Amino acid sequence: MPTVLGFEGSANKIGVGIVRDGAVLANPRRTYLTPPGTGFLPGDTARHHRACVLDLLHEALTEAGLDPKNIDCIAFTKGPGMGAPLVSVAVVARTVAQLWNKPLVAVNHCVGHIEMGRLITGAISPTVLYVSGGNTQVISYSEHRYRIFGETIDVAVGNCLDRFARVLKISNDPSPGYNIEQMAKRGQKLVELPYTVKGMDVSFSGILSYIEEAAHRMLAANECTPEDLCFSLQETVFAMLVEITERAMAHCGSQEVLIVGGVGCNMRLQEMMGTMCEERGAKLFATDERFCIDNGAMIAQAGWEMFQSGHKTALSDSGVTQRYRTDEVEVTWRN
Amino acid sequence: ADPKGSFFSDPSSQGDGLRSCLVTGNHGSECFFVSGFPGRYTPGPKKSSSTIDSHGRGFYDFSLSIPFPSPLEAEIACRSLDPDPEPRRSGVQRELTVIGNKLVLHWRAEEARFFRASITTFLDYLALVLQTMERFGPPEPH
Amino acid sequence: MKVPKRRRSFRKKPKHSEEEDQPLRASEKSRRIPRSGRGEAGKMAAVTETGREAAAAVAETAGLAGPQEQERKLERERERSSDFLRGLELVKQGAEARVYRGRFLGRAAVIKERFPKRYRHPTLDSRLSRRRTLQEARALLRCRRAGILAPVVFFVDYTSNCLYLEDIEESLTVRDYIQSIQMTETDPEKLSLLARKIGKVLAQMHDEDVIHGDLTTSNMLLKMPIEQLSLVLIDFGLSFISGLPEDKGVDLYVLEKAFLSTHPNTETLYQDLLKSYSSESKKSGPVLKKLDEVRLRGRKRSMVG
Repeated sequence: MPTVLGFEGSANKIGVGIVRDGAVLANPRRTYLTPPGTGFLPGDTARHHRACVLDLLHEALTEAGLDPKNIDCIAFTKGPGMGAPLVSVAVVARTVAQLWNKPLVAVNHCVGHIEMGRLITGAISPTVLYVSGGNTQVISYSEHRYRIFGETIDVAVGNCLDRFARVLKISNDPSPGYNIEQMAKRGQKLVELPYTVKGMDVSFSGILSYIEEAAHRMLAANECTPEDLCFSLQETVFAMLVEITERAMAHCGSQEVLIVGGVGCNMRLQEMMGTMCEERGAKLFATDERFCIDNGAMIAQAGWEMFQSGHKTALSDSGVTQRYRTDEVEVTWRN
Repeated sequence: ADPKGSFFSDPSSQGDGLRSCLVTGNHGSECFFVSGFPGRYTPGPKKSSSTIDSHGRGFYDFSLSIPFPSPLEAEIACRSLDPDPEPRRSGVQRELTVIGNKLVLHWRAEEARFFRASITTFLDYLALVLQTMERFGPPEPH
Repeated sequence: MKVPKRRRSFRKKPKHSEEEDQPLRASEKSRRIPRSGRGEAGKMAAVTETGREAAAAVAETAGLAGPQEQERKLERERERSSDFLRGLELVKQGAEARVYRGRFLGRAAVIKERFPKRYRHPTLDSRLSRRRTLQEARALLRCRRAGILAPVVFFVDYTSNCLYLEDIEESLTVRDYIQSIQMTETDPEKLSLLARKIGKVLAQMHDEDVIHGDLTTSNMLLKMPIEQLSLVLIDFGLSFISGLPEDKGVDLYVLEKAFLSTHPNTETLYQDLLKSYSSESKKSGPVLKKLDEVRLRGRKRSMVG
């Protein structure tokens, strides 16, 4: 019955989670918020994480009612992500692992999302759509790897949404994506935007530069409302995502879809994916914001799987890495 | 006064020579900074031999020694801070060693801005390690 | 107005670039396709039942009826088309189209129907289906004119977004062929010849400024007898016309990923393909440079969150 403590801090969220054999015992999280119109910078984000990581660790232990001696393994995010925030969290993970004499396991952030999604939804062998601020990938498991069948060839879908939110000065609280989703519900008119699918890959940079240029012009001329723009952007980029997911499903012969990552808790995306699945007789699995958005428990869960199958990371090999592809990890815990 | 602020102002304007100052660590222990700033900005004969390599390039050097309550804690700090390398492009060389209960740090870099950035960033992480030890230590005996 | 740097490259695009990326102009000259396809499709379209019906549909919708009347007619045409298709053999249901097998003017034909996708906004859906039908027909004709093997376009039905194409009988996909060779033989030379042939055909296609958009080994067929290596390109739904090295580089990148993930341990084979592409294409230099860039972009992209 191993109990694993997981640290996550690769972007603007920091979380500490505790997982024991499929049960989430604690999962506190904080978000570094910046004013509307601005994004989060590595240095400031790292400072935020350093200021609250120890409080979060204390909170997680208290909430779970556990002592350090009840913990069997310390997991942390090795990458991908922003360098300084990653280091800030990894340093604490290494220190407590040594103070408490516990083994350390370095986790790939994307694999953390996938394992958490599988745990919460019970999906068996799904085609995974992983959508967040830094990643857009369509993944399928085969022969001990999470293989990337499609991905963005430039910016991530979440990054596209965030940067659009900055153009319209939409609030970052609780997240730009959530606020776009709410505004989109009141949108009426579909503004025509570029739609770029290349095989199983997608591109968002064209849409972003188009809308960045067009937004103010169209708003000033009263051609559309900010709500219409939110609506149009969501309809367009989500249609692209559903399309490449369906292509990957057809390619792999899969009948399950799992959506993970911060953009994955968008209800409109889930609805569109659900419609596509219905038409194919496939099944959709998705989670809510507690587990879609970056959190500590997902790192603990992936760490739990790795620890159970015998993984341990030597301190000397525990350096963080900003680029760490999903398919670099050998998945020894699945058949 | 903030020791970092005054200490890490542009070394190129300060000429060579040894400087030192004292800061107080979290454990009430004292950290002793020693540094030399010679380098290529000062006229030839003054260059300290210790900072000129075989190709005649000048370097900034900085050393720091932090005492811990025990050698084990110094080891823990070293192993927590060492794994993340300096960005390769910065050209900063960083060395961590443990001597007794002291963590001894040494930096060497060609460019002043990378040199300063590396040290200030590292000190933030070092402070985090000290805080972690304070709140979640002392180390369990092996 | 300040134009973001990236946009500049758009401007350099040749005038005839019709990348999917660009919003379609409302007055897209869709009627051009059947006419430019006159050589193959036009002659025959006048003869058969289905051909006449479908041709009538186009004529009718282009008529002078009021918008409501026109919409009703369109609806009737769509129903007639779908009734016709239901009577045929469904070969496969892909991600974006149903493919049927039947006969057109006595010739073996496949009918590719882009059916509406309910998850998409209806306006977006009809725009995409229509454009892809058009792009596919356009690219097929352009390839055939340049002597690149691709199915003959018999007929294009815009009311139901159906393409009537030549059925490449007696063929198998490159994907199946590679897999069967990998399983049974150890002679690498056979596959290397094929890889070089693929490189050559793609070089020809790119020199015609046709970007396929969805290159995979499933979208290439080998006609029997296989030894002749007559390679037929299909599935041009994501294609567009562009002379930019960037677009050609991305095209090769998409193939590279599909190739290597579908056929493990074929890195040297793909290198053979690229080598042949490079020697056969007059403009390969900048394209391969772009390919390197696109690969790096993927690896260098910071992946936050």
